[in-house]
Amino acid sequence: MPMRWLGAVLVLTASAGGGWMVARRLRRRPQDLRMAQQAVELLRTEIEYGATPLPTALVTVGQRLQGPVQCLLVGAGGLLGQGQGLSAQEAWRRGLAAAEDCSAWTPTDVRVLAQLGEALGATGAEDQIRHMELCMGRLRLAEEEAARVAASQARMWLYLGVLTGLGMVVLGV
Amino acid sequence: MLAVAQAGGPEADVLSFVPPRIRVPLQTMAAVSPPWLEVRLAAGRPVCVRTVSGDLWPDASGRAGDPGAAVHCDREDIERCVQIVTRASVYAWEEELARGFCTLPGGHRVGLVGRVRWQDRTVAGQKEFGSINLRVARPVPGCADAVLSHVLHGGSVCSTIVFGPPGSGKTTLIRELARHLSLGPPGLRVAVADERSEIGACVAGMPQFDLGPRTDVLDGCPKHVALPMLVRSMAPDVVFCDELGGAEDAAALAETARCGVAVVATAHARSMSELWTRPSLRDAVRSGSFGLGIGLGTDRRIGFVGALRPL
Repeated sequence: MPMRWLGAVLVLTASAGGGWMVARRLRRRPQDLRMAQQAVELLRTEIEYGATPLPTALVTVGQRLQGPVQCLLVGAGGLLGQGQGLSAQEAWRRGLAAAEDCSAWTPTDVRVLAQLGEALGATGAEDQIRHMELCMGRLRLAEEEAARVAASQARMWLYLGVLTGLGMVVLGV
Repeated sequence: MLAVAQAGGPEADVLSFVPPRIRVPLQTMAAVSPPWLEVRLAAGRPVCVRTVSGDLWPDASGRAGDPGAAVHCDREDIERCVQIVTRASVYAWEEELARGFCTLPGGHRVGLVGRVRWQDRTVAGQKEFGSINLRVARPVPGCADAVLSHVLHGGSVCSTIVFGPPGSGKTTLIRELARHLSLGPPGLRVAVADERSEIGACVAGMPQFDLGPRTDVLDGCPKHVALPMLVRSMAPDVVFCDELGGAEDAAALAETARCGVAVVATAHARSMSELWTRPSLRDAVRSGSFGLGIGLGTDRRIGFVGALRPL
């Protein structure tokens, strides 16, 4: 009998935990997207007003932020600064791959950031600013959509997790 | 016997700006080749290394051979080289790219040509680069010894124009003169109007060449603006500048000379008679801005040293 109860508690915990994880990811996505917009905005300032070389700009901005964007910017800036002949695009791609694992970004969000990386540092200031404004616009839209999804679905996933667990326990018992 | 490029010398500095794919054979070749003058990269064409004893075409194993068997550059190599030179920050080098060259740490120069962006009757920038020329900078200690006694008379400097064709060593000579005069004796206050960053090759305000302890460099400023600025702000005994050109430069030189400051400058001209065909330079000499002329030949030998008199 105690084993049954133990099993029921485990099932309930696992199911509720799963729901909580999905809900947490949905709630984190708008935050991560907001942070990405901030990163692009700060990067734009460094490029537009400071003409700061990209490796320095990436690390400087990255250190002022947190979460996956910090991982992306500091990672890419560090790789570029090593002077191994990597292009900005390669460094950005590697930084993005590392940041993606610890973010709540969807593949669509990652694609938006990847597209920015393809142009980063390769053209004049005017063109860089255009690319960054475009990226910020797309991130803003994604953030609005993410906030709507989080508001409508996060709580649902929490309840769903708990209720599914309860259902399994009841059926099992 | 010809000297060999030294490991860790200026060739190694320049190679760090070459894309890794091409760097490897060039590193092998650098160990056994004569000192380099330039590394020339062009999309779709073989890599060429200009040395003091002629052009070399490295193959994939780093041996010099025929151009046909040499390592060929592709568009990606050129783009990667631009990224390395600009530290992946083309936007931070727009001015330099518009004028066609960048100065690297160590004083080396990179010439870049591609498709020009033409705006308001000036070159606003360049893109789609096709050719890159990495020029190896190498100080030549002692190259000014033969002319120093002519330039320096009893502790004062005779205003001098150094002329010669491109690549004849005019800038190298005046750089060495600046170092001598600044170091002393007598240890003069030297100012350098380095419009094209060639004399001092400043990176972040630091001259990459030794110009002596009493030398101040105004970097990247047009000569006709830089000369009065330097006279007012740094009170120099002698001012150095490179590649005199238009009437504005000549007028600024005359004004500097009237302030009692000696001038040492360079100009593109193969001979005295060619120098005389350029009105602004002729006017500068006639106005007494220069007392001494030094002519250099293509072999970097000094071919003429003497007082300048209008022809």
